[in-house]
Amino acid sequence: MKSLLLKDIYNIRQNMKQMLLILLFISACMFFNSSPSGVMVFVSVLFTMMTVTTFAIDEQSHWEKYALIMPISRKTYVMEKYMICLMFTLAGMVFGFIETFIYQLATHSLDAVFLGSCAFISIMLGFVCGILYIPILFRFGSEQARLIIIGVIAFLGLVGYLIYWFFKALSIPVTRQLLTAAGFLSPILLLLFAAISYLLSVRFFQAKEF
Amino acid sequence: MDNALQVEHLQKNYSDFTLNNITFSLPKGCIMGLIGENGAGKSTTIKGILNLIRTDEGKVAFWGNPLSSQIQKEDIGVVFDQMNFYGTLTPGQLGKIGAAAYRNWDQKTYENYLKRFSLPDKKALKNFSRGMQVKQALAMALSHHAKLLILDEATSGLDPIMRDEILDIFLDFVQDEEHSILISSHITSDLEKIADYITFIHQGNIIFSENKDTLIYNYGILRCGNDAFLALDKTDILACRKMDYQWEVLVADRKAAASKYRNAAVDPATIDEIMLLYVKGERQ
Repeated sequence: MKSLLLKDIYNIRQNMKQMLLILLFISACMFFNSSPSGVMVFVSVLFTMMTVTTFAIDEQSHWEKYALIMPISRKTYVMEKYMICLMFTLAGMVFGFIETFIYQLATHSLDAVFLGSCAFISIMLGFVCGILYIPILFRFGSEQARLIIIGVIAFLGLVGYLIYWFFKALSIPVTRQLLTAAGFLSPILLLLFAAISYLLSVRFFQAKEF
Repeated sequence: MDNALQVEHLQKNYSDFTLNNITFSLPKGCIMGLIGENGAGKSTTIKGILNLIRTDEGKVAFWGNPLSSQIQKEDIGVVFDQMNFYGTLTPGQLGKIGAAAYRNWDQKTYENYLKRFSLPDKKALKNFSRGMQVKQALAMALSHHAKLLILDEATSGLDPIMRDEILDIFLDFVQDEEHSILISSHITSDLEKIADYITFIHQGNIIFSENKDTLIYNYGILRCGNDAFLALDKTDILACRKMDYQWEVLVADRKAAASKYRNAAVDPATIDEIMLLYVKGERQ
């Protein structure tokens, strides 16, 4: 596992410099044009997307074939992708957190609750993206997966809208209690989805030939 | 003799190709050369052995056991015919990756190989020549005290001097009687130098898996005219090919053939010639 993580970190380092520049630019635009509330979440999700890049690099360099002749099982190979995804998400959250913190300090609007909530949502959303992408990447490869991922995000957006519409149509009030319950339930749901996602990825990767 | 690798009835069916009933064994302390034309099934055989593809039938055993545990992989070093590392990685970083992957990783040995192969520690692999990339992969394969090396076209792309040096490394490696090498190569002259056994795969089938000395010292090419060819005992013919003015006939026992067919010339056969006759000629 450690060897795979090291390999991904070394590989992504080159992209990381470009990514940081892009993020600084986008963040600056967001700060100056609107409120900074979305920066942390945005950065986190963007960092999570680097997982897709690690898949592309692996495919391009035929790494999977080599990894499997090392003392590494296919399950470990899959698990590492979830680990690196979580690491990228956390790195994105930290980066976004620092940006937002500096912004709040500079504008004398420091809000610890806001920062904490954003950090929580960033990790949740970033990792949700990861657990959604990874099985698709294992099944279809990075090239095809990019298009499929866009389709899946659009589909989930539609589902989200339909849920909102459902609540609105039935006049169900979105109360604080409901939000708190959702907040407590979300890590459990996340773990459940992560487990399903992992099992699917293992299944897809076991079926792969090199 | 104990076998490092035993392959039995390996079969893999593709829509346009079948690897059919591949059976051979590689004894400990020996080098086996896997030969055959492009697309013959050498790489597919290696992939099947390493569980990189799902075979339809057959068994593979390493030191008597199937490749089920990760511990066994510690003892196997592999070099493929293409680079398997991203171009921005450096030998130094690969050393760290290897150290994290293998329990028996020997950093000192790795660094020695980097020096011996003149591989700069901090240079990105994308700036390496094909030969340097092969050397890098070899350094990785030789630095975790593997007992079996599996090399898929590992010496192709290397200049003759470096090839010679690497062949010496292979010969050193098998000085330990527990060590063995399975090497696929188009460069049959290399295999003539180092291999103990030659396994010839053609169109997914094993034509022979023989002791190299048997091939070199016993096999021969009988050259004769059309009339003499028609008079040959067909059971003596392994493969034959009609040339412009004569027939070339591969025989398993050249001394016996020379005394039996006194009006024909019988010469020793190189592995290249044997392969060529099997591939281009007609088999009896």
